[in-house]
Amino acid sequence: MTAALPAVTPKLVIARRRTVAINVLRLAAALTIMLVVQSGSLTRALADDCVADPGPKYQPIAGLPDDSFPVCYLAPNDANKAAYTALQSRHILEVYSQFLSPLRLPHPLTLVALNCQPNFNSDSPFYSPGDRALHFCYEWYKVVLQWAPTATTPEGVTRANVITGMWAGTLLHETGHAVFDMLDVPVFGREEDAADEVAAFIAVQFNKDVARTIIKGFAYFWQMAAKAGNDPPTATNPNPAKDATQRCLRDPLCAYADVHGTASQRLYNTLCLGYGADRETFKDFVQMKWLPKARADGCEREYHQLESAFIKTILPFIDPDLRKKVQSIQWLLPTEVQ
Amino acid sequence: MRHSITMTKRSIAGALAVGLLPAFQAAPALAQAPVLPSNPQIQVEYLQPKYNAAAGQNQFNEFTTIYAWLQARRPLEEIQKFLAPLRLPRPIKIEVDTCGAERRAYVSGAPVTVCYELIDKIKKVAAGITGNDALKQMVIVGTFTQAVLHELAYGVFDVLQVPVWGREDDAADRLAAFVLLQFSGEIAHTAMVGSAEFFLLSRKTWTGSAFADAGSPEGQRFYDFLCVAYGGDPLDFGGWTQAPQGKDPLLPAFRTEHDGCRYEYEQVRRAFNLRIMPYIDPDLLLQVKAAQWFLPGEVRK
Repeated sequence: MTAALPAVTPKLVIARRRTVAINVLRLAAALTIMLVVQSGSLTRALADDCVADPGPKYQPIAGLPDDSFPVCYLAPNDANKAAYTALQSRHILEVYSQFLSPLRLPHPLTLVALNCQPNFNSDSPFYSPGDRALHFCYEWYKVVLQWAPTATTPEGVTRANVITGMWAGTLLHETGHAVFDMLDVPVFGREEDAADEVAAFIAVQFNKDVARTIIKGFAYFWQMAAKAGNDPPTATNPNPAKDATQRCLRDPLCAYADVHGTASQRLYNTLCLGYGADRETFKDFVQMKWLPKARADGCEREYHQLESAFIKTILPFIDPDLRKKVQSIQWLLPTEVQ
Repeated sequence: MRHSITMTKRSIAGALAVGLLPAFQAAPALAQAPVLPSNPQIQVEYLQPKYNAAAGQNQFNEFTTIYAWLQARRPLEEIQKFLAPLRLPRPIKIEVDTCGAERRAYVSGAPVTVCYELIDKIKKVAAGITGNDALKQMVIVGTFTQAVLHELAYGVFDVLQVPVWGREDDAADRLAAFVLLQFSGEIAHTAMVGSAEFFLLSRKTWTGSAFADAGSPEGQRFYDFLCVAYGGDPLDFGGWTQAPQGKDPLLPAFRTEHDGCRYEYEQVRRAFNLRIMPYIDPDLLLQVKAAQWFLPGEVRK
């Protein structure tokens, strides 16, 4: 099913570093000229480049600020028009902007949907500290659509779960990078894993339907990525054709040099944090042996460690009243949490 | 193919070999121990090996040999001195014990454990290195030192209530690597080269649900060590980024590009300064860094 897929690199954030890819810097420089984010709103220059909302217009959720995190959909190319339409009509960025409203960052974080090919030579969304913007690639949305199952899987994952879980999980992952950067959060472990932890942790702070949709969808995506060859080749079976990154053709071990965990690690890390947060809600993960018991036994401890880290390093920057309001809202549509 | 990890390194036979940990085979006499106080909050114990019927008599004999060697050399007592600057609100005990596996998961309040099984594995991996006694010694000394600091990191995270983002096992690796890099080139070299070589030589094939393990594949640990080392000291470890003709560099360009390893090192450094440095006695730290941990003549520059 996935063998015919393009050699995408389903790795969130290549440019999460302070010193980012050259093409990111180019964009950053361009954006710096085009936009000066002032008081949480876009300048007219950027607004001119953003695609106007074709309507129906977004109706902000009452009681939550809608201008803290400026949003912009840049014009899609022909290949990305369908992705743009899907994201824009759902008002993904506008909704996410309000979702983030309890977060108090020292600098504005801009949410931009854009074509990432060919300028960035990647389909993967990224946060770039150079312009303090979260870039959501139209191409990524297409990848998710391609990898989402057409029928409910044996694990009970629906197509809607994966599509919704991935756009939500991806935005949360990238926001993790932004938060680590802007709040100078101490990160002892590998940052890409930490960003996945942010996504999983936030997901399980909401009702069971939302939590299960995001955890299952995010996890299943990485399961598909592993099947598509995004786990490293093995020493005994180098099979370089399965090295989807095409960067380690001479040396299979080199695939482990990536800053991201393997696709399978990301699958199990996500399942583990869901199960660790709420063993009752996610007990089927263990029952169906999606999450091996040997790992499951330590998941509650892993979750509590994550919770402690969140409380110490990020929670102080979250408005408690707005947080309660955000947690009380049903963010996903009924069709998305099936 | 990758070129040798030691190809571009200084040769440092014997580094740490006396001060921190003599090699298992006949080792030179102990150096004059640095005149430093032992950290009273770091307790150590070498437990007698336990017979494991499933593992058999041969393994028990191996562990007994290791136990005798530990009793004679007492490397953990050197670690106590090495950690003299660390001010802990409550004690952490480091013990060597029979675990039935190479690692024993840390439990809050319980000792951190270095398993006989891991020491035995280090010994066996090193024994497989032929024609390079210096590298063999680095694998033993460096990996043991790194392993103790790795396990100890769990206790430090717990006792100091350090927020840990990312998988804890990786965090422990990065903290251990960072600490070792703060010391002399000989310590850093031995620990980083020895540990990395150990990961390389002991790597297993990981597939499917093996990736569910809370610990990381040896390949990831290998590159994490190399990257933090290179990021912290690009002059000493820069050779790892050079590709000899027809070969790949040890550290692929996609990991090092855009100062990626420097970023990773700085990330650990900032985290350390924020969360652990307040518990470090600066005067004792300087004494530890200045201490002669080796016998004169044992370190080849």
